[in-house]
Amino acid sequence: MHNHSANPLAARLKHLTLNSPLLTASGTSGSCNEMGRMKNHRRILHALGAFVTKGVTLEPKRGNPEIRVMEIRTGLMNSIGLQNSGAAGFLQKELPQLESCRLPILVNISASTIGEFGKLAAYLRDNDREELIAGLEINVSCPNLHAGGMAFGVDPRLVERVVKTVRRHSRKDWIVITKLSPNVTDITLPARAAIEGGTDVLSMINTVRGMAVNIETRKPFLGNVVGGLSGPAIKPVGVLMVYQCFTKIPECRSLRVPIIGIGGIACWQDALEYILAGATATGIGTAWFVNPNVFIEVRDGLEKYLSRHRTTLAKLVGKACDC
Amino acid sequence: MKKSAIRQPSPAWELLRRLLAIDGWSCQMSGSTALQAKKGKSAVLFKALGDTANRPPPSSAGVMIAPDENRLQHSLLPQNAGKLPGWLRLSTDELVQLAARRIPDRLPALGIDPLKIDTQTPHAHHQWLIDHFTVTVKSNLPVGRPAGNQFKLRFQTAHLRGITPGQFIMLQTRPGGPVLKSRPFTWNKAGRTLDLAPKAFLKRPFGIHRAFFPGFAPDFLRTLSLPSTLAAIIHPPQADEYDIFYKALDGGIGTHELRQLKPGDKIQALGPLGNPFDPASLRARGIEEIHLIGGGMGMAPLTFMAQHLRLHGFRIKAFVGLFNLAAIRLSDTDQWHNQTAASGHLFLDDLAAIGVKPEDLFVSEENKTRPPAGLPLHPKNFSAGFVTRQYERWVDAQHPASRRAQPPVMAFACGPIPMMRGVWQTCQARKIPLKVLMEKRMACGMGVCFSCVCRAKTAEGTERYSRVCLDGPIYDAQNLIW
Ligand SMILES: Cc1cc2nc3c(=O)[nH]c(=O)nc-3n(C[C@H](O)[C@H](O)[C@H](O)COP(=O)(O)OP(=O)(O)OC[C@H]3O[C@@H](n4cnc5c(N)ncnc54)[C@H](O)[C@@H]3O)c2cc1C
Ligand SMILES: Cc1cc2nc3c(=O)[nH]c(=O)nc-3n(C[C@H](O)[C@H](O)[C@H](O)COP(=O)(O)O)c2cc1C
Ligand code: FES
Repeated sequence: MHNHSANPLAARLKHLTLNSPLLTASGTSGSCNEMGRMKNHRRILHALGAFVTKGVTLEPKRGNPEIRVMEIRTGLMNSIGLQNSGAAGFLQKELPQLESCRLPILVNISASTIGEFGKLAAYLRDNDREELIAGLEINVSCPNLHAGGMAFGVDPRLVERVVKTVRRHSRKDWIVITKLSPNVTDITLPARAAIEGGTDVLSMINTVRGMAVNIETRKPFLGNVVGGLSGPAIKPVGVLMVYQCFTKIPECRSLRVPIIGIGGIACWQDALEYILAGATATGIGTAWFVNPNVFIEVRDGLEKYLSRHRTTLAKLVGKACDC
Repeated sequence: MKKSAIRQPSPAWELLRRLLAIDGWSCQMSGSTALQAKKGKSAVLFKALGDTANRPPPSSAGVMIAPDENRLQHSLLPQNAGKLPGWLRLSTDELVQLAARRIPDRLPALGIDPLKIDTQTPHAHHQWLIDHFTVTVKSNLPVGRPAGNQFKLRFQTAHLRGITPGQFIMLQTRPGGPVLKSRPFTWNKAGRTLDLAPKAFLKRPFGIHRAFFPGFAPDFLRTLSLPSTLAAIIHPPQADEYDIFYKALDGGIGTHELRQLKPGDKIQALGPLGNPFDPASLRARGIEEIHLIGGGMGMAPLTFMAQHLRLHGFRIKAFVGLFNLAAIRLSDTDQWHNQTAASGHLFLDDLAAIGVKPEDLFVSEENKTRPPAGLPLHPKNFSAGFVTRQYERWVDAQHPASRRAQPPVMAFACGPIPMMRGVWQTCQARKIPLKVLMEKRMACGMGVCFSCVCRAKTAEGTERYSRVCLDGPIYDAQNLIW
């Protein structure tokens, strides 16, 4: 048996040491203890290293009209529209319930202006009296009110300003994660901008923009027309983006700014691909709708692989980038 | 009641006697191991475990009460199951626990000291945890003549024991693991072309149509009638086989996979999902009669509802709305479950077997004027046209609108939205509380993804999107935006 300090699955995100490299992907595991209703709840929590909440906004958000999800052959399209009960509701009702999971809690935040991002971070900082929050994940894929709804994430200058603002209003010991949008030509540009703005960690990718048409009604399928594609279909996109950041950005390569790889992970082999491409930790979203044991199975699979190869996960980070 | 009526007072008998006395039932020992309770024409037999000689008369089913959990478990052993058809099994401990939760004000009358109840050992059915498990397909047969796109799937599992009406399950529509594991694009046998046929990625949500209990005749509820206080605290016997009734949609990927399933196939399932619903809670509100109004497929979950309501001793009025009765003709006598007086129609035979009497069963068929012969309902209970209209006319005759007071009834509706809206208008005008069962597109089924929303009212009266899989699928109609 390994003793605690030699946990082969340990993953370091700045000063936060996770017992497992697996995180929930924002928006796919709720924001309070919905997961607690699962019979395998304890085992899921054991498999996780941290809990990333559903996107929280300053004010409550109603979300988009129906239809909000649509399945494709190897994934899912969604246009939920960030439905949530706002920062106050989150702190009052949801966060206390999350405490029982005993994992570092990372709050995914969204806003429609830079100022609002700052206010939201400050609100969470000032009202999280019991210091339950371990960090923030900035969702820069949300639409920017001042740019006609174009996502912040596509403009590196805006990314830098958002990150700076959030960093300034965050608690000192929080880790600030910037979650990048894949809907860009060169992922390293917003990634560098986020690092410039002072992000501690990068996470990628968010959903890929797409659309579906209902051939019977001859209308767009989703109520919001545009949807975000997730699931196994997008894995190669995510792996490449992690690889590009790791190889091209010195801060990523030196692990000063670690990467959380997200997008289409459905089994331990997928998670390992991300690690080898340069991710320190990985997030799983859509797959868990299909297989409620996915976290448990991925953790077990990684553990077996590591013991078979007598190595640790940390040693494998970015191995595919050595050539 | 005279003490001498009970020759061997044991804690179990004494508890039972007191429980029955609340509703004015009188008890007498019958033989040395059975207790007969009577009130008017109704009679129920209670029996201690370990004796099978003393069967209840065929006209009345019995409730079994075991002196302790061990003996109860013994009766549930596979080799003993099936030997006691028509018996509900309860242990004394269980009875006490349930009484403490559901009728706390009656504890003194039962001679139970509330402080002495061990609440540390909750029974499994207190926990509504979502499980992920494998079910075995027993049959998958077309329904309707000529056979069309509707099917009845029977599956076996021990993992759904706590499921209540209104709850649902999500089914993987193919045998084997999720698409995630078997590669989505597979080579065909010739090894040449790619199989690009779409496959279902997500599980599909379905309501339970009917449950079957090991050791119980499929129609045991036809004759069972329980004292209401007892009914309020017992819980249903544990089912192990379930039916879902489903429609293969035009171009529907998952439902077309589902129809390929063969007996013996194993598929994955997630459940029970959605809010549990406890029929006993209606008793506390003084409700005695329940109206079930189902439009087409919507009658499926209401049939399961009827089963639970009957177990809890409610009087049921069931309204089945169909476009065409031929669409629910069962194609195969195997599907009739050897139920007595089966007419070969889904829903109608199910409801009859559950104990809904011919005078309480109503059918409306949109495109017909005369019912076929042999339906298990009173001829005047058949109508041509919409079920909403039939229900409205019936309610007006039974509960005239002029009567201001709210009648002690409640209605449940499930079906297409316009149909439920019609029922809601009827109920609203006549002060009948209505609950509806909603259906929305779902991804997770567990409340984490926010895809399955419907428009509901908040406590302040403003509008919000409510997650059907978490807050529903049963809603108070007055809390929704129609
Ligand atoms: C709580 C609940 C209970 C249900 N109970 C029953 C039942 O007892 N019998 C029955 O026949 N049907 C029932 N349905 C509807 C059933 O889930 C859909 O008919 C089925 O999912 C269609 O799948 P498909 O693969 O054929 O369609 P596809 O078009 O291939 O499905 C694509 C996606 O859309 C969803 N979807 C498509 N149509 C519907 C629909 N009408 N309602 C909900 N989701 C849909 C699918 O689940 C899937 O995620 C229920 C739905 C819910 C939410
Ligand atoms: C239903 C749903 C809701 C999501 N909500 C959010 C969100 O609120 N904030 C966010 O940053 N990402 C959100 N995402 C994106 C996921 O966190 C993740 O980046 C993406 O789904 C890719 O990972 P996956 O393929 O493992 O699902 C959401 C995804 C889905 C499917
Ligand atoms: S299906 Fe995911 S929240 Fe209801």
